[in-house]
Amino acid sequence: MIKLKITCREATQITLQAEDRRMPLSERLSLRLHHRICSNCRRFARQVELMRQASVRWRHYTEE
Amino acid sequence: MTASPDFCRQIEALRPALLKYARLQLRNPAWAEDAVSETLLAALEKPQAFAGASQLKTWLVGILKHKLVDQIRKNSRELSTTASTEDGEDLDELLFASDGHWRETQHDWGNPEDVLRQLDFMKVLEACVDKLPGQQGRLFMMREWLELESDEICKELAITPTNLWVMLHRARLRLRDCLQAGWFGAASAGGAS
Repeated sequence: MIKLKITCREATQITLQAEDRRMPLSERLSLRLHHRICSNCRRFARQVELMRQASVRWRHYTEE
Repeated sequence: MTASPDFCRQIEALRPALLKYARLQLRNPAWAEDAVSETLLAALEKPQAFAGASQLKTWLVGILKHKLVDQIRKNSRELSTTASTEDGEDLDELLFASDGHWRETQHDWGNPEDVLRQLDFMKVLEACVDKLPGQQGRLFMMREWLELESDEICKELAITPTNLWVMLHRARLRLRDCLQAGWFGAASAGGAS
């Protein structure tokens, strides 16, 4: 079941766990709904995205 | 085929760099020394395996990564017993109010491309990974630097997936905090563009 309202804390947890496993569709939808109304969590998700790209860049950097 | 003196010198010159990453991964100086020694030994025994097509460091880091997994395997029992004592404070409690809202406004980190092409950012990132508490740092490195899948990590360390996710959650939150303080906070004060 899709939770229509999740807290920022829950949104953060879903965002971070998505880095390490495939999240159920229901949680991804809850997150998407939450992002529509929450700029803080949108920014947080972009920070996590930047960190993911940073890891890739860092792996290359450590071998150069 | 034996390694030439020149090859030996080149390899030995890379020891400090290899040791740095071995320590970041294992969080144990003695195990890190072992992994690096085994790496250099393997390289010196088989210099012909280095075709010269890639950079020497790339080749050595590739060997090191295998040796690090060996070390983790060898010491997995000790790792699982020390892990819970080095967890650090719970960041979630600091970040969120009791109603689950952020206590503070989150910052826009800007365009990843602009940030990531700066070499200094890589150094701050490395320093932040170094500051992660032992087990969180180890798991983060296994996931992001050794590029192991979650189920492989769980198997090697005999931990549950839930435990792994909790630890990685904490590691990533802590890393984000450190980057905010050490780079984005500092940069915006100095007028980064």
